[in-house]
Amino acid sequence: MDTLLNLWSTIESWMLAFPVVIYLVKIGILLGCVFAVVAYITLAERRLLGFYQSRLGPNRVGPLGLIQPVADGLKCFLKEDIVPLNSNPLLFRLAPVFAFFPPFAGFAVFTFALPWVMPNGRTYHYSVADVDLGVLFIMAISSLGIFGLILAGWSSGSKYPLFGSLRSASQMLAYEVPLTLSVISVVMMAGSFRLSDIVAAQQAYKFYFFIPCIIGFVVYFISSVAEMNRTPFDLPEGESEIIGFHTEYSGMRFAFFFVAEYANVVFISMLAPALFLGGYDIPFVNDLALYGAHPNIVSILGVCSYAAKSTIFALFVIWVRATFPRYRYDQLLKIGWLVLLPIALANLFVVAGIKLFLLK
Amino acid sequence: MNAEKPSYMREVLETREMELNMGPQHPATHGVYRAILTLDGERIMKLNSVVGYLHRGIEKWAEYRTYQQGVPIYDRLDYLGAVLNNHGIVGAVEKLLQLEVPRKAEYQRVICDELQRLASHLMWFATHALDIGAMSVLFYGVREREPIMDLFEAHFGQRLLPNAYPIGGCRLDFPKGWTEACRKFLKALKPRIDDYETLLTGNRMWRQRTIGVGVISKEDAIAYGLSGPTLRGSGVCFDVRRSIPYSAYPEFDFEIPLGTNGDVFDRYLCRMKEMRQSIRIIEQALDGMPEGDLKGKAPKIMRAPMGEVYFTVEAAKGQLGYYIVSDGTDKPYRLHIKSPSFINLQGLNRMSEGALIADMVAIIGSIDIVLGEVDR
Amino acid sequence: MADEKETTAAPAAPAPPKKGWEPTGEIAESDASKALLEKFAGFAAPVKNLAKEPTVMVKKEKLVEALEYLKSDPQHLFDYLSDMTAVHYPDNDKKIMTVYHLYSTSRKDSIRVKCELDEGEACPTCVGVWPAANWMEREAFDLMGVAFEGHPDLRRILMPDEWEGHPLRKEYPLGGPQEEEIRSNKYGKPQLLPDDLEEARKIIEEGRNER
Repeated sequence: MDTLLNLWSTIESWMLAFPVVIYLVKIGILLGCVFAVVAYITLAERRLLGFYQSRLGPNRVGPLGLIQPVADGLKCFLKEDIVPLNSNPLLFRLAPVFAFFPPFAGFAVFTFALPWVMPNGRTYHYSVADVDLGVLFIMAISSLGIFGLILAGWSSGSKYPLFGSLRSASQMLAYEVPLTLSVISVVMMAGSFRLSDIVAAQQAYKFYFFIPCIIGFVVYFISSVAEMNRTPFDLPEGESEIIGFHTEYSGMRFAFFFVAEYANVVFISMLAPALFLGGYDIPFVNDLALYGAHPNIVSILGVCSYAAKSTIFALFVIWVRATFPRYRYDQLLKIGWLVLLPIALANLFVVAGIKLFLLK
Repeated sequence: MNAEKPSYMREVLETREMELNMGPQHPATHGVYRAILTLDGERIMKLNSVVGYLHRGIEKWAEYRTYQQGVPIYDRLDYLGAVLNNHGIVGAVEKLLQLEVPRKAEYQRVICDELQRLASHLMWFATHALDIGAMSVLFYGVREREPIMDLFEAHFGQRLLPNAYPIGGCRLDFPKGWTEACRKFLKALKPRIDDYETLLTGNRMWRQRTIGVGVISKEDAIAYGLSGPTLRGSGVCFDVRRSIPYSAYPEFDFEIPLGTNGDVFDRYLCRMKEMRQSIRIIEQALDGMPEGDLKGKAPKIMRAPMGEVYFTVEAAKGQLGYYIVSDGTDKPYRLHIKSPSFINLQGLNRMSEGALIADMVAIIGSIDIVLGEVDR
Repeated sequence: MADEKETTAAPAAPAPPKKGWEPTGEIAESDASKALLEKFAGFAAPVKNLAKEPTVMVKKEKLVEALEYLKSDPQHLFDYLSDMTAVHYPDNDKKIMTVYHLYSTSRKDSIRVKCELDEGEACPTCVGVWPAANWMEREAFDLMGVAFEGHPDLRRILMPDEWEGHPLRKEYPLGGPQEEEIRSNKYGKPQLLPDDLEEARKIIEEGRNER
């Protein structure tokens, strides 16, 4: 034990000499985890859809089909990569990257639990960069993803993808605003843009923000489903209508879009608990430390609680996909501009009122 | 076009219409149907239908085969409603040769016809809902259709294209236990249709996507020669089973569901209600199954005198007609098939006026075309 | 296929030249057919039918008028064009016959109207009476080569646009225009590979299976 601790303190001193190492290690761990989660949420969705649709879903590769994501990835790698003659080759190749990177970058500002305390008293935070303007950063980075879709559709030099990109552009415009407004209501409640502050505020208030911002939560859910381009708002893909912005893509480039979509699902369903459901706070137990629990146990339980909350959110998103038909283009825009936007604005006033008069 | 736009748009921005090929390979055209759309944004300005990719020359082929030899090929017209096609040709030849069909055979035919109608409607239900985006429904529809295919396999020995009836009657009695299995299936199906209606009929999104979309008025529907649920959705009471009775249908008690607005939703409701009526008919037929001969007295060599007959049945897609011209030999001199999908597809032009691409998909689904029948 | 036809016709060789197609049966009458015959006397004639379906032959000049009359007259109201097609009778004097099956959705009655045409003669279109006739007439044109006068969009519908010939005409062979060439083994006989796999592989590798 002592030798281990000694070894650790040597490593630590090295890391403190070059702080960038800490960040690199954290980024490595985070990306690894996120990739694993994204890979398995595809499997979870397929198995769950199978369950909803009275069939089995992929269960052949490995026990319970657990190696299926690996098989999928391999398949996509081995497939021929086609760049259509009619396309703009540079943008066509760039577009998947544009779509791919924003959701992963967004994870940087999350805080997943209370800090981990080392035996020597040094603490390590469960976040890569818990910046002051975390929420703003997320909003900025998540709207970048749409460029990938627009570029993909436009550069394919084909009509169906073009329709997909046109649809996604107008859809993004229509739903980004209510999404941001609903998040702003949470920021107002917490009084901070920092995600860990928002969670701390929920702990301090002893209630989660989905209670005062229930309208905001609903608006957030609907418009985030639209942001993720998922049923019933999956118009940019719309398999049965225009096939989608990625019609011309194949092999790994298509897989990039595919992974980006699921990374978005993971991203949004991890953001929701932080904003509305108390993040790593453990429900019904106000402060475990009061019961004499070790802070490290508290932080591990916190991670579990966070994961459970975001899993529930993600399952909900999958459930919606299994249930609803698709909206039409004009109806979608109508809902965005004429229904969600006024509601989100009204919610802002309601939350402001609650904050001003009910909570001093 | 220019005059309608505000002046600033005319000067600064110029828009032009875009031609889009929908099909022949497109998931929503249900086969190799091609629509050349002229689009203004997503709005359809002009629709040009191109069919014939699946033309197999069945009418020509029929002239070189005897009446009996020809029967199996007509299964391939509407391959989702094969038994009904079969009833059409067999009925037409029986009318031409003035053959009596035993009553028991007629009852058996009604049962199998209605099962096939159920199967066809379930397949329509599955794909139509998928077109509009309700993915799970596809699997539900196919799941319910499966027992029907099993019943067909048990009785005819074939699932999809069973070559159901010989001319003059039916081949075999139902196998042992078939009737019970059929009853069991119908009993299970009834509450499930209710379930599916809960899933879609009352669903706001479903209603928004279908109500007021692809409207065709009563007068237009008749003038365009539509038939089947596509016509009845517009409120025209024309069902061949009632209007030009054939087989044993006059003996059964069933309703003909009608729509009012003639939109996609009404056509959807019509088919859903029709499924319930089919169940009713099958149950009555199973209850009242008469005893007696099945095969009838059909001659081995069928030579019809010179002449012509036109015989229609109510297929799953609409009125299916066989026009046979005989020249005294044992082969038809000319055989023309009035296929409901072909004529119904013609109405698409009228229905999709001013629709969006997404509506177009819904409308094609609501017409329920099978390209094998459109192109023959 | 063509051979079969000849053999069936062969025993009747000494008989007078083959007579054209003539419907048998009895003349079936309905109110509508009677009224039609009366109104278009001289232009309409009853036709025999096997199954007692009222059938009227109308001359080309009055065809559209007669159809319009049947559709709009309050006594008849044949508002539904159930089917329209054409038949080719190479042995008849008038070689083409167009057939209309009408149905009345309100009176639940049906009637068949026929019209005889000479080879190459155009039939007046009834698209103006029923829009439904549009594709039906296109089909008749495509497969039977009947031109329709005044049709708004007379193109091929089932066959490719550049197709030559009209497949449902009697002189058109079942196997298509190349039928003779195929039958005369122009392309050689199809060759079966031997059952022995080694042998078969050798034949393929040496290219001996190519014709």
